[in-house]
Amino acid sequence: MIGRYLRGLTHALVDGWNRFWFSLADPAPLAVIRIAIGLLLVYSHAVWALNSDGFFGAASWLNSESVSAIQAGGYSVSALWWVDDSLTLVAIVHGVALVNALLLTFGLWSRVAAPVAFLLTASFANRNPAALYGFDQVLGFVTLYLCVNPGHGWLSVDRWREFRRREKDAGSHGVRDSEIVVSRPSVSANIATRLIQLHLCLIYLVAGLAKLKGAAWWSGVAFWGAIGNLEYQTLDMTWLVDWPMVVSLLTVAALAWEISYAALVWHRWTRPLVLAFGVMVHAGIAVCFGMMTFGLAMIVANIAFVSPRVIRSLFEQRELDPWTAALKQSAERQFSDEPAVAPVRVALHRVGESRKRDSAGHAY
Amino acid sequence: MIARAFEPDRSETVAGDSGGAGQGGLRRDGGGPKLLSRRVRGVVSVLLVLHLGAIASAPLAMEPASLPAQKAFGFFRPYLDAAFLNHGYHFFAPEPGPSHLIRYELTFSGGRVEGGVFPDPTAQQPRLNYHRHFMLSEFANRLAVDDSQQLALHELSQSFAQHLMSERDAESATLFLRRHYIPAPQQVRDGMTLDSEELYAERLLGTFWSESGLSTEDAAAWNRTADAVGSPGMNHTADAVGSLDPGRVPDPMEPTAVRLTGRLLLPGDLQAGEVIR
Repeated sequence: MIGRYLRGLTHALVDGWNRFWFSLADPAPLAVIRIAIGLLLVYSHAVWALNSDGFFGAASWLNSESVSAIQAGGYSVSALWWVDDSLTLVAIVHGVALVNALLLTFGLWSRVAAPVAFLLTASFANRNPAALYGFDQVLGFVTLYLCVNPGHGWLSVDRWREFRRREKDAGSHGVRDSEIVVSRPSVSANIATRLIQLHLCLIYLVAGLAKLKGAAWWSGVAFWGAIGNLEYQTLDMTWLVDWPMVVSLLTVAALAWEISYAALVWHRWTRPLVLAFGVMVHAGIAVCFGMMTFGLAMIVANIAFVSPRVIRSLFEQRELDPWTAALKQSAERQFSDEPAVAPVRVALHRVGESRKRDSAGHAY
Repeated sequence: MIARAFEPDRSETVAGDSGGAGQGGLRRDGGGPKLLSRRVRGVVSVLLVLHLGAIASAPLAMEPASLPAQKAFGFFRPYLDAAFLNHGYHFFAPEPGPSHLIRYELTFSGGRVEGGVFPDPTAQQPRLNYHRHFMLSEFANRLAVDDSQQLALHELSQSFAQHLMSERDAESATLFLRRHYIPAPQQVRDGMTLDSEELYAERLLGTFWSESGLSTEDAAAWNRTADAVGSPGMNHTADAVGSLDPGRVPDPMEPTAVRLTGRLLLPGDLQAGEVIR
């Protein structure tokens, strides 16, 4: 009996694991994350470059001796040490980083741009380990997961180029069914999305549990500790001092949300509430505490939990060309009772027929 | 309707049973995209388990940490450090605490002295640049309250000083770690502003010269400690940065605001009005 239970348990675990990680997923959320993170990377590198003298070179805030002392016993590495002696070379690295971030944003050579973006992010961070905060951490782990799948199958130059190439190869025969490869759902998109999701759950859970060690979170005054901090303040909220009940409720609500995120975000009914509250929290941090970049980065990472259907619908409101219409249909099929992949193929065959007509001189 | 927009029906997705994330695995009907082979799935699974174990070990290894967490972190640390994944994610935990700044006094060749503080939101623009400077001074405090990190604090302070002297062409720099406490709600109701002088406390980090990067006093203290303990001492550096005598009676100037954070019990904590000039 116990053996039967254990066999059943093992089977369920393996089956669940495989379905969780190795199913097919639409890359649409990753595409939006890629674009947004790409833009944030552009901004981040531009700000590094803006104060290059302060953060790179022998006379920087953190010279090599101080970084060595901070990272003593660790294994942090940074490619920037190879060029740190020359501010000219550092400027070139800034240029490369900016161009690469733009490539990632536009989805051009994404498969290369994503790992390069991750390596540069880690290198810049490990060069300046005392000048970082949550924003840099989010950039680090999201770019790492974009290496698995950068969401280049949608809203990217890569996808457009692939489509053009296949269209050219097809010639008068129209677009072939094989072009489905350009944006079809993939296991790698699923793994990348799952990794972002789990990393977010870990962040919120740890941050929430760590707060339980603080009396101010239990007594409900922790929120005051944030709004009464002048160095963070960008919007004066100290008028809340006359509303202690509001301060307490905000404290408890933020804590409850953070701790419960990892559980409630997985359920279809609670997910919209959890994500909506998260957007409010991060927007509040961005506006009130001056951490716009961190707030935006966290909101962007949370897109991993948004349905591809919602995302596609936001970008495909207008009348669509046959190709995009097919993609939209494929996304919508995921939410129907019909098998999802077969209709994609049917839709793409229709696109192919349309292309044939086009190549024969008929307008579409 | 809203829930459906964020999550496909369970019957529609293969991944739905495992806490579908709105991605939804697709069925293989109609000869669609192929799934991974069993062997590849096995290899990828091992990598995923290792990665997840690694990123979980970093926050678990933060003090107070269990022995398994420490061991796990030690095992994964090369990967975590190199990939910049070594984060504890203790945002505003255990409590939102006071801020920390660096106040400096630069002495120039003619004896002229100029002062300043960083981070400075007016000097460091845009906001991301300000935050990076803010994290520098916050990092100094993280080292300052950890007795085992006094050598690193000394190197960090020296690096700050060298940067400031190089930037302004000064001869020497004296640095102070300035703690800015958060006023209690009642103090604000009574009229205290967030930048009230009563809320600041300082401790000396050291005086540094542009030639050697080490003050005469520091060098003498270093040698004394080295002689006393037989090796270059962490204790010296602690002295040089002005760590507190554990037996000292708390300063009567201590603002009530600090009770909000309860951080007075931390080693090396500051007392309001301590070194303010």
